[in-house]
Amino acid sequence: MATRILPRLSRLAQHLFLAGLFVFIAAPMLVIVVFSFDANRFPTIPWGGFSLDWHRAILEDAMVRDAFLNSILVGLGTAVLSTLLGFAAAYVDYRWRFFGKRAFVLLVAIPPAVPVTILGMAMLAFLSRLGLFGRLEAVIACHTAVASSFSMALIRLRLNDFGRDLEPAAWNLGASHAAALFTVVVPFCRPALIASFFLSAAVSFDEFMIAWFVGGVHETIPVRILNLLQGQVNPKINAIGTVVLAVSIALVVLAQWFVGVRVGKRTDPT
Amino acid sequence: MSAPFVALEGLDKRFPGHHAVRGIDLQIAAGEFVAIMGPSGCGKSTTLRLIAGLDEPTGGDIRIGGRSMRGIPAFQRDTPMVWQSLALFPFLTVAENVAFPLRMKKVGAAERRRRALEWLDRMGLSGMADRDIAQLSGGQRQRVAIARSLVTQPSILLLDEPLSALDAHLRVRMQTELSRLHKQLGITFVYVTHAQSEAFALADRIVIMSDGAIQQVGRPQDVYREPVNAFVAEFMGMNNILRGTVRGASANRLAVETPLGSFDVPAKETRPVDSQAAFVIAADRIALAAAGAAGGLDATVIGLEFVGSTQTVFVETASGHEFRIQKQQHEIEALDLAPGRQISLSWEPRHAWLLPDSR
Repeated sequence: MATRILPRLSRLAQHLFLAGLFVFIAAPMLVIVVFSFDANRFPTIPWGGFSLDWHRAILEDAMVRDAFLNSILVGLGTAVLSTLLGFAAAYVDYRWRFFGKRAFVLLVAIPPAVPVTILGMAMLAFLSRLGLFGRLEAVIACHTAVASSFSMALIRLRLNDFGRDLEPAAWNLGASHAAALFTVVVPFCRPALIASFFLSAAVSFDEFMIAWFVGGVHETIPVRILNLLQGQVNPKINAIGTVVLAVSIALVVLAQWFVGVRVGKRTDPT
Repeated sequence: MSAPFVALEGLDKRFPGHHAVRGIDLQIAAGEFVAIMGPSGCGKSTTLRLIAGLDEPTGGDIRIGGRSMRGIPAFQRDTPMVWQSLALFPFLTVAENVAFPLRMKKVGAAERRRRALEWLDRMGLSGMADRDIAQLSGGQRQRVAIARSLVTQPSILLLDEPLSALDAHLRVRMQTELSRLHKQLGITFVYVTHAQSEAFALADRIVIMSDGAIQQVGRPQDVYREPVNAFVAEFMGMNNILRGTVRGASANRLAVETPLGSFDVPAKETRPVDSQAAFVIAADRIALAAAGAAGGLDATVIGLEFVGSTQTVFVETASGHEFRIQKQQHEIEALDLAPGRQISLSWEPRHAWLLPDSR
């Protein structure tokens, strides 16, 4: 009998450990979500009852609304630019061999490895010389620099499965180089391109340091949250946090869904 | 031959550190089925890629239908190719794959679909049009690849080891199918392969390449029975090469002295006495008899190898010269051959083939 009980206990322990781990990760976020609907002014126990006051308050706060709008603009811009650049870089790496290619790939890959504080300061110094400091475009450019590394990695990974013969086969069947790029390479990469779009948007949406350094008066949502926190403990923060959390999770889930949806259908690399 | 449909004129291709194709000349008639054979790395696939315009020649020219292909990009050549990897587009359905070349030619969607379905029907794939490529078997994919190459009604089809991914049974079926297609369409097929059986079964003419150069061009039986040099004789597999010195020459005959003795060899041209000569005895033309037979060459059996209903017998003479002999299974049994046994070899002098290029 003991031989049956032991494996069961072991499995139970494993499940409990996993559950504990998830609770540890998710609990702080859950707390924010729960208290964003709390009628109390301060997050205390017991709960003061359900209320949408704080969510209504952030809707009425012009600065929060602007910050949201900025974040969406910056996120969209970053997503589009970073996916375009990431695809271009990945395709160049896949397609050609040239002198200095290692250096080129390193250059694309390096931004996420640089501490964001240093990246932020460097970009601030650089942009103020160019007179681009304090503009949303500047934030988009800087976010793109970071996010395109992820885009490139994601798309390059997909291109690993792109059969060496597929593009020449398209030329052979009457496709010009441009036509082959758009009718063969891009469709093949589509899941990775969509995933890259959402992932870049998520990276941008959550990024604080660079936005804080170069955004000037144009606050994105993370910057607004910090500014709110510095002023006073405001229950609106929980409400903002809940919305940010929902958006971020949605973006990442979408990214994963588009990467995953084709994995199951993938053919053996031809 | 009437005016060639495809002409390779001094075609040359160098890659960095590798001379892949060394200025070859070849003429292919319209409607001909030509197989290019050779060991891997001999330049046969590169030649095909040059014809398709997928690689740029470093010298010479290719003419198709009399027109020089110099400077004409791959996508304007209409020289579709069936790839060893098939190169089907995994994100398109079966019908979309077949219709791809038509889409590139800006044919309307309805017409594209109609012609794709027509070809799928023809290749025995009706009802598969809207499936994913991943849902097809190897043989079905092969048919899709062929349909995709032929849907534009080209006047030439290039095939790069198209059957090598299939198992033996399917391979034979696809051979029949390709042969039938070639007859029905009447277009030129250029077929690259390293498999002798495919080339012999399909081709009107065979081109043997080695080290970037053409060694021999001819009908299958010519290449098999009358190889021009030792490379072709050895590449054909079942040939025994003997080398020696010409000791006497009469009309249509040479006496060649080899380390194994003196042999009579038929010769189309005469050779000076004391020059070097090499000749070939095909493995299936050697007769076996009990050891000590008059006029025979004594040897020891060193091994036997089954190849279907025939067997290859490996023997060695006292001086260490190895022969390969091909016999039917029942003949082997009659002689009761086993490794270590002594036997006697002989052949009719008329079956010896003097290599024109005797180096």
